[in-house]
Parts: sequence; C-alpha cells; structure tokens
Amino acid sequence: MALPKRIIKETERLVAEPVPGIQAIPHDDNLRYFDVSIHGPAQSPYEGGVFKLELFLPEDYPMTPPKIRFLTKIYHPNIDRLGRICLDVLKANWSPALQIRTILLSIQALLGAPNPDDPLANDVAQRWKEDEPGAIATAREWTQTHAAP
Amino acid sequence: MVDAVLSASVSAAPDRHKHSPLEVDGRRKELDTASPAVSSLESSASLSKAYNLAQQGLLPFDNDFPSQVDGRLSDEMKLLEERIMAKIILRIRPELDCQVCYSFLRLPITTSCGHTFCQVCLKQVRDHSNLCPFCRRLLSPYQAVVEEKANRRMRTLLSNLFPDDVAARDDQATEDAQNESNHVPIFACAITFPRVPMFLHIFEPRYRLMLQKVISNGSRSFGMVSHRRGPVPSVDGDFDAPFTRYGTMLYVTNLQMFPDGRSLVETIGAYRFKIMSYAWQDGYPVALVERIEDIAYADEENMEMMERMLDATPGNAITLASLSHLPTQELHRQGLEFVNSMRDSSTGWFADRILNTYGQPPQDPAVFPFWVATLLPVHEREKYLVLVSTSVRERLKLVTVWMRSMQQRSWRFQWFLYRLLGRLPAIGIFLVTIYILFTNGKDAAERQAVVADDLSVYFIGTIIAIIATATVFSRARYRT
Repeated sequence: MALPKRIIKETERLVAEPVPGIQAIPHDDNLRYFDVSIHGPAQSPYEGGVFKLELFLPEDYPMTPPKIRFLTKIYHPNIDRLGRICLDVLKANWSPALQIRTILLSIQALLGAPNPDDPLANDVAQRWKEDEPGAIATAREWTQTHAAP
Repeated sequence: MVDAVLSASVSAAPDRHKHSPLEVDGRRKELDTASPAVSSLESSASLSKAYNLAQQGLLPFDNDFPSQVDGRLSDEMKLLEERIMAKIILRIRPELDCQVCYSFLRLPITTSCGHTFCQVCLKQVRDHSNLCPFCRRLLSPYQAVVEEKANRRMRTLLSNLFPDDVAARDDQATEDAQNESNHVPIFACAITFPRVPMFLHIFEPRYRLMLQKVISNGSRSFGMVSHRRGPVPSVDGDFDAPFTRYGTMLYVTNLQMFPDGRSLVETIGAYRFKIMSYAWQDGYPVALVERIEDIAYADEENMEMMERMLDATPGNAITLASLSHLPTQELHRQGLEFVNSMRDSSTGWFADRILNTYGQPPQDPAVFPFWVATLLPVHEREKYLVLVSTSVRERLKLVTVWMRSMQQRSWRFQWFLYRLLGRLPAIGIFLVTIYILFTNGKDAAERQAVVADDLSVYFIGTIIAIIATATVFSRARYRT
C-alpha cells in the first residue's frame, strides 16, 4: 500500500527544515522506519552527547503514536535499560495533531528536564531523588562513555 | 476557525495601504459615510471596504467575502487590490491544511472548540479518542461527529479562494477511493461460508473505520478470513500471513450502530475468494482477491462417474474413499436425513432456536455442506477444507464423514448421558425438596403440625419443587 501523504509530507519537511540538534532519516527500504539522533541539550548532563534512537510509524499512524526507543545507553530516570521512554505524549496523551518533529522535540526537552517523580528506571529515579549531584555526575559520565559523537 | 481565517485574511490587507496614504485617506472618508448601509458592499465591493466594515463589526457574518475587484475602481486601485488579494491568499493557504492528514481541507468540519479538520479525518480521530487533536478539549458524542455536515461557510470560502486546491483534493479523494475499491478490506476473525449469515460485534477502532468505509463507499462488503493457527495449511501454498488465504466475502445486510461507535452487524456470505496479495492499511489488511468458483457440472458428473466405477465397494472405515461409491444426490439426501434425525432428538446443534437464525437446511447440494460446516462443532482445520473445495461432491463427502463419525461414535448415547448429567443437580434438588417437605417431622402428626405452623416453608418448598420438575423435563431441549 502506498505511504500515506502525511508521512511523505512530514519526511519532506524534516529534510527541508531540520530541527537544530535533531536528525531523522528514513530507511530506504522502509519509509516508516527512521534513524534518529538527538543532541543532548545545553546545560544538561547530556550536553555534548549524540543519542541514537529508532522510530517506527505504525500502520495506523497518525491515529496511534510512533514507536520510539533509545539505542544509545543513557542514565535518565524516565528512560529504562532497554531504551524505552516514559513520556505521556507517546502514550495516552498522543494526538494526531502531533508529529515526528514535535515528539522528538519533547524527547529532547525530557533530556533537559528529567522527571524522577514519574520514573521508568526506578533505581535511577531513586538515586536522582536522594543524591541529585551524584546522579547528574553519573549521567554526564555515561554521556561521555556511550554518547560521544 | 472561519472567523479566525477571515480576520486573518482581512488583517493582511492594511499594511499595503500604508504605502499609499492618499488613497487610503480618500477611501476611508467615503467608507465611513457608506458603512451603515451594508448592502452597498455588493454594489461596490472592495477589500478595504470589507476590512473597514469588519473592523467596525458591521460586516454581516452571512455576507460573502468580496473576492472580485470592483469595476469602477481606477486601474491603479484595481492593481493594488489584486496584489493584496494575492497576498491574502498566499498568507492563509498554510492555515487551510488539515492538521491530521496534512492535506488541503476536504469537507471541513469545525469542532465545538473551534478547530477544523477534514470530515474523514475527524471521524477517524473520533474512533480512537474523544478529545480534539488540537486542544484536547472534549469532542461531541460519537454519533454527532459522524453525522455532522461539512462547514458550509468554510466550504464556500475554500472553493472561492482556492478552486484549484479544492479540485485537486477532490480528484485525489476519488483516486484514493478507486484504489480502495480494488483492494478489499480484510477482517481476520473466523471461517464463514457463502449463503450463510454471520453476526459480528465490531468495537476495535480499526475495524470501525473499515466498516464506515465499506458503508460510505456503498460496497457494504468486506472479506472475512480466519486467523491462522499453527503451520500454513498446504492449500495456502507459500502464503505466509497471520490469516488464512481463502475466505468469504461478506455483505452487510443490517447494521445497528451504538452511540459510542460500536456496532452490531448482520452479514451474509456472498462468495469465496483467494487472496492474491495483501498490504496493511490503517491497521487492517487490504487485499487483491480472486473469486473462486465451483468446477463445471460436466466435470462434477465425470468425477462422480469415475469414482463410482473405481470404488464400487463400500469400505468399513469412515473415510472419504469409503463414500466414493455413493451418488452425489444420495450424499445430500443422507445429510438432510442426519440433520432431521438430530433435530427430532432435539440435539443442541440443530435446535429450533438455531434453525431460526441460520435457516432450514438448504436444498441446494452446493450450499448444504456450508450450512452444516457452520453449525457442527468441528475443528476449524476441517472446516477450512470445505471452504476451499471447489467441488460440490467433495464438500458433501467431507461433511458426510463428519456426520457419520459422529453417529459411529454413538455420540447420541454420549449425548444422552451428558443430558442426564446435566439433569442431576435438578433431580437432586427435587428429591431433597420432597424429602424436606414430607419427612420434616418424625411422625405424621408432627409433620402436619410443622406444615400448618409454617405455611411459608410449605409454599417455598412447593415452588422449588415445581421449578426443579420443570427443569428436569425441559433442560435438555434447550441445551446447546
């Protein structure tokens, strides 16, 4: 079946007007599958890192949210060891008016503002609450080890 | 949204005027005197006049936006207005893309929260969520969204300002619809057969969308296949999908929609098909299918003759081969006889209730096996063989094997035992009640005293006894 017009348009716009610090390139053999890289936001423990993600647009996109996962290891209370992301707009708060661009921006914002009160990685969230400077140091360390550009 | 677009379009106008203060001053004076008479808008329509009226709140909502340049204006003025108009059009064009499909709005519907989407898009959204995609405010109830007519004002605006876009979008929609009509939507659920009714409760968003599409495009039909369990059946060849390759086209005969978007659907099998290729669309499969037909009568007769010549002796085991000596007509007759005998002994599979729903056994030997296959509790793998068979004789033989093996297993005796078991609790209650009622006391005098003392116990006992008796004698009849 032909790719829906919306996906074609979104891809075109992502290429034509890329978001600073975010890159999303569709696979040649599957235009619903994107290789994504997000730069860690400035003034965050992830600054200087480039994080790789995979993004897949399911059959009923945009009625259902895209499936996104971190491929690069990251120390973050809302991202677990498998790279799964706890973000409301990727789940119940998804709306068809959102798009790949806005979702990736939300993920970038999540890197800048970790939310240990709604954790996915419990151990990380616990540490974040009890010893924030220590947790941030670890996050910075992991960024240097795993997300070096 | 309409108001927003309108004011956006008129607000684009004034900055042009600033470059020619002379004209503006001259016109403004004229406009101010003319403004109370709104009807003059038609006679000397111009953008700046409309803008002034709108600014003063005097532009009636129902008035058409003046899209033509007035003939009495000076050439310079005309040129200016044309340029402003072009600018307006350029500016508002991006506002007119639907935020769901990213295409130019088609049959726009405006929500109560003031956001506009394509009719089709909004319906689809409503199947998944009851919130506006834009502002997440609550949308109207499902039914209201589905029946909502397109925003007339918005449509006029679109077709006046962007006739080319509207035409292109309509063409695209027709093309999409055509593509879809070549591809049949597929519902993977169960094995169904031609000429046999099938009842469905549709609640999943993707299948709601599918149902809406087949109803609105007038075809009222979709393909039903079964989920594949286990390895690919040999008849399916290299067809490696999570569903079977052969299925039945269902035609929607009756549809009852619930306010929340679920629906009860009555369908009847139309014809059998084979899936040639398939793809996924909006969460459900769509397929190119090829209709399959039974072999010709002449071939059927040849087959019957050959089989009867080669296998003249009946075998003991119940196999397809052991039936080869029988004429096709005889197979059908035996089948009908089996059904009748089952019905007379009030067997569950052929209870009156079921016959009322699925109809009496078909007299057409081609359809009879389908009917039996729908009703008899046989494994889906077996039923699939009946579905894919293109020979009436072969199908009759398949179902005759089922029916005979059921008889041979003396399943009626088992059935009787089963019925008896079903009755046991009722019989138990019956006996216990009798016992309580009549042995409540040790002797007759005491028993009478008890009964007389407590009439209610007596009444309740009697009622229980009646119910138990009724159950004992009626239970088996309606058991399925």
